[in-house]
Amino acid sequence: MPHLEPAQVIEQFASFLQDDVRAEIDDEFVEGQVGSMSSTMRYLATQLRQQRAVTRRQRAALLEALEAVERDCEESAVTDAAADARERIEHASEADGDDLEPVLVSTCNDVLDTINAELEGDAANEARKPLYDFLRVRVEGQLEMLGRDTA
Amino acid sequence: MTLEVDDITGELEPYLSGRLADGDVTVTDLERHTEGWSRQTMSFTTTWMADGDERSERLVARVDPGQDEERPFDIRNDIQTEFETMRSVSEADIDVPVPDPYWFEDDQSVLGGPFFLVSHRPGTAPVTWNPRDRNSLYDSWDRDGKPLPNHFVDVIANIHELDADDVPCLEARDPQTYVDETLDLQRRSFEEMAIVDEPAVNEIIDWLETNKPEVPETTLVHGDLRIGNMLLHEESVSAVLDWEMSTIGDPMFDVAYSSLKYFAGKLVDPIERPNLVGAVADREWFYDEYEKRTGRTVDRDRLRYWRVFGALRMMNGGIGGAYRYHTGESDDVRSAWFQYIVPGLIEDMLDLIEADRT
Repeated sequence: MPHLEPAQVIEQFASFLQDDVRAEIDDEFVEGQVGSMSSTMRYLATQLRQQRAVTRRQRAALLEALEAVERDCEESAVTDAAADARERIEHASEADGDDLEPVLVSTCNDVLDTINAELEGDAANEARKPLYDFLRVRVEGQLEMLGRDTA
Repeated sequence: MTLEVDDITGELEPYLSGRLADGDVTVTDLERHTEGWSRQTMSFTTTWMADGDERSERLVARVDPGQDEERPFDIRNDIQTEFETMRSVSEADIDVPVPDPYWFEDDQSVLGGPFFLVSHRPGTAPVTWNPRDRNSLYDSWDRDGKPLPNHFVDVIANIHELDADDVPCLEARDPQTYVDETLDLQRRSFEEMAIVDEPAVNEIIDWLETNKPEVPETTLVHGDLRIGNMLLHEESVSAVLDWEMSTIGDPMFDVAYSSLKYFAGKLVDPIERPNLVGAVADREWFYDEYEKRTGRTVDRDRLRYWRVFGALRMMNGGIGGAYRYHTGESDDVRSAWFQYIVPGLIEDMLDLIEADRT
């Protein structure tokens, strides 16, 4: 259906709330609620625009991390977990961010759990390192969706 | 429940008449303050006649309309304990400005919940996420003699002069039990309320479990100590507010928590001067001055631990708000908005633990 881009509509509603509606409210509590509503809508608009690209970036980063774990780690329980995770991600739909993101979260948790259970000290640190690169990509993507300028 | 201005005025006048003064008391200029969540704060001017003269005083009421609601993982003390803590601080022989505590009232029929009354203090609480307030604090750091930064650290050091004997309403706990219990509560809070099982947060909790500090002493800990919970007036702290999370614990918690980047104004974007604690005091200067004033060593490992823990607790507040909105328990717009504090806090926590984990 949509003739209008959802993010644009939400963004303009947010501007209307912030610039016009708030000025007409004389109750401090309600004005605060409308301010939070406007701010939330701006974040939602950015999220709508960027979520798919950000999820794809996370997918690429996690696959790269898992390949590094499989290649460099000598503990078979860990490499098996990484291989299983990679397979699950590759089978998950790349097109739909809503379906893909839980798979990324779940597989990353599984591999980190295995590392933390099976390895200690430097070996654990080495195995975790590529996954922390993914955690960084993930949190930076979340901040980008909230409007952080990464250019 | 949202209290309406007219209702409040109508209830307060007969309540205060005969209590605040012998005769009739009138209430005017009532202002509801929006910064509270479930506890509501309001200020108003009271006027009465005494010995033929008109007397007037501005007061503040803090009400808990949701006192009887079940609040899982809520670490706040009840509102009477908040009042008693403030009264203990007020009566102690230390320079920690708090509003003059008047009395606590548990009759819920007056304002819809138990409440306490305190004097109104001059000043405003800075909102560090507002660039205008942040720049004003930066100016205070750059000012000759640094009166506000000095008073900021004085106040924090002085709070930690009090121990469990000075604040009998707070439970004294073994220092290690304090560490175990506080972390356990936050871990369970995340496990129960997180809508997304964030791998970074699981790593952070694992780091906290592995690196629990040895705590050599306990003191009064404000528990939510930050520049935004202080009223500032003429380059000094005129009042420390919001004593609802006070406990007997590791004083390093307050030092660490007040120095979180989040409370210096970081939400999504990096802040202009990340080395300023609370946007008002250089980080290393702050720790050094705290050491000079208290004779304590700011143990950097403990400090780091409590910075990570403080950020986790704050993040759990955001996650809890989103959870309550998600489940329909709350329709407060701020609960939905509160999720947006989470990524910036995760980034800060990763900065603090990553070197140990990789």
